[in-house]
Amino acid sequence: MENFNKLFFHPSFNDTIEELSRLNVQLPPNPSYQEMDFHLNTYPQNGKLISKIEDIKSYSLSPKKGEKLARSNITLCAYDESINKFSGLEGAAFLTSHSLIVHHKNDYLPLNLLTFYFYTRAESFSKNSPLIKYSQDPETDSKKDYVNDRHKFIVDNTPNNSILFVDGPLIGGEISSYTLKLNNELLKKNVVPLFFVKNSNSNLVTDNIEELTGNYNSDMHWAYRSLKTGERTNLFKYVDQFNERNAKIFCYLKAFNVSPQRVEIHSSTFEKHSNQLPDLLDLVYYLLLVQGDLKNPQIRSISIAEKYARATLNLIDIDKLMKSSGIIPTMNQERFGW
Amino acid sequence: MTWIVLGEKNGKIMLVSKNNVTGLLPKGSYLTVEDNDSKFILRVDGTYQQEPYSPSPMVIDMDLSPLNPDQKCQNIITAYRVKDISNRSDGLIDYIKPQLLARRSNQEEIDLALGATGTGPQVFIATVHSGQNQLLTDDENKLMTTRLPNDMFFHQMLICGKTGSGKTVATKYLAQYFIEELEGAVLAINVKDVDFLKMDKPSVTNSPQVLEEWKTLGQKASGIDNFIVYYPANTNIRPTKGVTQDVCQRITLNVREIEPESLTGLLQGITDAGAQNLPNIFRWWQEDKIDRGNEEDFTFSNFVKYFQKAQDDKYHFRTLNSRGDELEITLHAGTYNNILRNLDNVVDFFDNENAKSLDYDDILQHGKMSVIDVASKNGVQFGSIVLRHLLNQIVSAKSEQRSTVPILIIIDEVHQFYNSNASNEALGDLDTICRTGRSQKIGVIFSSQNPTDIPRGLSSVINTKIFFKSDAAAAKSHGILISSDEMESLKKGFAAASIHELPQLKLLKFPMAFAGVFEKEVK
Repeated sequence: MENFNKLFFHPSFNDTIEELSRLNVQLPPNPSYQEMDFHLNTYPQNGKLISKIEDIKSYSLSPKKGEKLARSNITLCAYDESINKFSGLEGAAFLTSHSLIVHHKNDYLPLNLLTFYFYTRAESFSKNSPLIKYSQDPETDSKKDYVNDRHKFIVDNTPNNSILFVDGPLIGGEISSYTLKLNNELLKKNVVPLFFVKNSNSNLVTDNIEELTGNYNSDMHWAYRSLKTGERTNLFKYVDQFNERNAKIFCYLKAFNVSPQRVEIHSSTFEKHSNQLPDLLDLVYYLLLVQGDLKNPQIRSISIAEKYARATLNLIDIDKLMKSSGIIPTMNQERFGW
Repeated sequence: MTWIVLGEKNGKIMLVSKNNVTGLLPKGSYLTVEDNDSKFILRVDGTYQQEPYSPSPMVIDMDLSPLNPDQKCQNIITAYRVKDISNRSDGLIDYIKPQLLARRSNQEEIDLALGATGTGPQVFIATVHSGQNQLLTDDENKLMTTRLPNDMFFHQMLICGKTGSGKTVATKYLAQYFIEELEGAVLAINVKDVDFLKMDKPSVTNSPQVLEEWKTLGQKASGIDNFIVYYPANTNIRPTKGVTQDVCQRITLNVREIEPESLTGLLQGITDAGAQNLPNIFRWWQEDKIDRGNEEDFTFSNFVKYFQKAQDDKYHFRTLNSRGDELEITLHAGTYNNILRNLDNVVDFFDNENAKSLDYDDILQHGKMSVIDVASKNGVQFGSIVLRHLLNQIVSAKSEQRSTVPILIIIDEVHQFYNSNASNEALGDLDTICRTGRSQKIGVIFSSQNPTDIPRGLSSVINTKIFFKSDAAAAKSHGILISSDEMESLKKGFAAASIHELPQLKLLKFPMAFAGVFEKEVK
């Protein structure tokens, strides 16, 4: 664990800021919190639902079993990130804090990575520097950089033989290959990665099970109606119609009388660790109770990772660092600072 | 152990503990922040715990155990900036920047922060939190000490505290220091039990804490070599009290030498106007006896007989005032009878054979502690006359430079001593002494259970106030900021204080005196 309790900066972090200053670029003082939205990047793309893993019914979760597992020698880790977006006339900058925490004996050990990228549609602007990224679609390109950094950060730093909770879904679409690579490399380290999705409107279940179709707005709606607190649905398998290797196993879990969450793992993870999964879901339930946030249910570990992500993000005052640049903030940011 | 500076809020520096801190740093502790060549010393004023992960109580409610990391606590501190050590010369004051690291101050840094001098009685710096008193230590668990300034003695002191709070023990400690280190003289008035009567004997204790404290100071139990107890010749100090008889000496009042004004101290239950007549009547009689040279008749008993005879003369007296004017007065019969009754009660104090009449040079001797025991019946009246007599002599001797010996006068249990007209008069004289004490090296310690026992005029000239466990409101009225809870929780020997020339020392603990304190007193 000697690598933990540290904050790293991406190798191009300082250079990018210096470059922006050199180019007289000024970023607005008040960034907006940015959520990476992957709802159009369902993994796998073009999937179909196979529901034969378990009988379709509700399953009770045991927080006692989860507690026992949490207090065993197992290593628990969690990943979350926090992003600030600075929108200027010349382009947009993304300041991201990647946060990984480990449950240690009497403390949470954090490890954070700060990255900073600037994207512009002005090609001539970026020609002057390799650190100014030319992009016709900054949103998409920023996601690619984010996913790339995230995957490297997680793989490099997650301790072997641990359970890893990741806030966010398995990512599909153009960046499916990253997801596959991440998962495989973690499995090589004997890490069990579980991904958590909240506030999803996906209909992976309700669109594929005839008797549910048309009765529910989303899977979350269905799960909320059919589950009691402390229950989960059966496990579903969602498979790429063209490549069976691209598949995930998921279920919905209702810890409190609010919207459930989706817990998903890659099919290759399931193949290797299927016998542990029921216990891990009990652990998830226990960790949701430990956090105990009824308004925003989240497992404890991810919540701590998020705190560190936000705290480290707040350490950086981009406005101060960029004070000598001359970029003109857009109207909204000048008026409202968002 | 390390703390991290968060910033400044409302004039106080805020800090949070790092992982290596496993408990709360109590109020009264000192922290040092270093920033390159600059150092800042802070005094902890507030301390509390914070749970950074603020776990949900839901798990406990559901009979589940919490995660160990969720039980992590941090120590949040607010601290006053008490000393900057900086080379800055541009007229500005250094920032104490966020994220700087702080550690517990060492002895040298605390000395700097307090501005303590190299000499003076050593005391331990104390802390308080949630009803717990502790001695301040450094990272090696070494007790932190400071020295009270010697000058404090001559700017008058008030020591307050309930019975058993440690005020008498502290007073003994200061007295012994004054004698042995300053080579001064101490005059103590013992009004209760045998409090001050055994200072010739080494203290006795098996308390490991006391022994540890003495070891830290490099001291051990030792009695005062030059010690004497004076007691009225008409009383006895019984050997069963454990007082060394060899150091006891009977004293008497000498009618030839007694200052006439002192006699008002004898009068009880009489109006001030009526009492004012007695000194002038006595002075005429005293002068008359001296003029006649009739030694045999020159006794206080004869004065009382002379006073009685005035019944035949319709209470008519010849008087001599302090200017030397001879006059005549007629007392009211009631006043006359009252004075006569009072005189009759105190005849025993005068002109006893084989008893010494105290003089200033009996007291003003380097390294000598003199105790006047007035704990006996009518003793307070006796004591007040002796004290007043001695104070006049001591002030004269000092002002006329017949003696340069520093003297410390200890009035223990002021509330008992002050509870009579007699002592009231004596304390009036002390007021004068308090105001001139510094130049003449005369110090006074007033010790009392209640600071309101001190006459208002005197309290304004007292520059050092030490409050052992007592009434917090009273302490506050003397400028000592301590909450009622903190005051109530002060253990024996611990005190809140406002020390002359040592304003940063707020909480301290006196070591047990090396002389005159015995096991039962330090439980």
